[in-house]
Amino acid sequence: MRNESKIIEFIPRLRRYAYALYRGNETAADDLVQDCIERALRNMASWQQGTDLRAWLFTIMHNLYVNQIKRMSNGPNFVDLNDDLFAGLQGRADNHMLLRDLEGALNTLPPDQKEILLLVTLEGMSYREVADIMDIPEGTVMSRLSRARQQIRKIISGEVVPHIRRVK
Amino acid sequence: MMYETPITTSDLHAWLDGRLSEQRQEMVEAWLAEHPEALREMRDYQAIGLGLHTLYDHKLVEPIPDRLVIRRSRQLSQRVAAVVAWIGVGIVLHWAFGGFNSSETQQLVDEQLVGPARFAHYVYTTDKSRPVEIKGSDERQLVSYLSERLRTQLKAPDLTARGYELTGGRLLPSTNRMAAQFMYTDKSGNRVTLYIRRIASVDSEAVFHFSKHDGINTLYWIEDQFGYAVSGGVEKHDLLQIAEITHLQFHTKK
Repeated sequence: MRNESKIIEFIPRLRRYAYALYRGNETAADDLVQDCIERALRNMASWQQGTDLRAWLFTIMHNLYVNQIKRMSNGPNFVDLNDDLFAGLQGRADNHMLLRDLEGALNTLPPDQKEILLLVTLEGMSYREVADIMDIPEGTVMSRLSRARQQIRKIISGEVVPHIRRVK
Repeated sequence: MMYETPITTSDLHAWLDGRLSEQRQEMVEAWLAEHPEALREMRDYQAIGLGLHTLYDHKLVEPIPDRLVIRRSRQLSQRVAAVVAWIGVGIVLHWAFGGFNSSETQQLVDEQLVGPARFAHYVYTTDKSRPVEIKGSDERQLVSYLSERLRTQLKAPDLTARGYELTGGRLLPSTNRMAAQFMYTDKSGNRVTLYIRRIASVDSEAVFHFSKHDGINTLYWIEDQFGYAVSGGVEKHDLLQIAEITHLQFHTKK
């Protein structure tokens, strides 16, 4: 019981992550968190006492997210375009506009790059932790992180026009 | 200047994320000092990171919606359903009252961290002539002095992304230990303080607790045997963002 109650502490973090992944879609985000919690509770026995519970929960979350992306990828996935996206990063007076740009730019990233950026930035995870969660080499985490940051910066600074990404 | 090993893109990102050894960190910083374009790029990435916190951190203090824990709980076994229900209650209590589960722990944390932090915030943010002992312009001296007295490696978090500049700080006696206080001021003159002291007897948790008293909001947490308390007259949501930045900057220092 005590182990299970520890999950509680991480629910706000899981919600923040899901909310960012689903570009502010509350329903989709909380569905993902709910699936994650339920799966975690069912499989609590497979979590090894003393290991990192946060990493375990985020691994479950990642797997659920990837499955969902696969299911959705049958149809084209269009990224919303709006005019705000094209203004510069520096010297912007209106902070809210800048944040909208940022959210828009975040959502042009491929899902794996988005996950890496969010785990490193919001959760403050090490590259090793992210690599374990996503089951990819640490070097891949680093190169994708770098690409993600570059792309967001280029879009926000207006250097590139965000292209409409289609999932094949 | 010569470098033993060339600075790579990976080094730059690892520097940004606080993942380099001290030695390598210094090398990267020296390199960046000579490469303003790369430094500008890193500053933009920093702004992106803080922007993501600004966009999404409010989810951390939002109450957990009922439907998240109730909707499908009937399908689960009774034992699991009980846990799910308990999660709902736990979160509501947690954020509504903002305390620890154990009242003993809560009392200890109140006596050693929250109370002293709040009072120190009140005493020094209202002090017109001498709010700080060492000014923010002497940040290096301030940090090394406080680190030495508290016998740990402290840092003054960078809150400029939230509009706060470091005013300075001071060493304080807490109930039974020493404490460090950092003070920040924004353009309108609002002040927030960060209070840090050792609390060895309470386990780390990844949770921010909230307390409000006499018009001062305090967000506090325990991590690696230290208690941290961020206090201010500002909104809970703003305070949370400051707390999250602080937490992140301490957490990623290793």
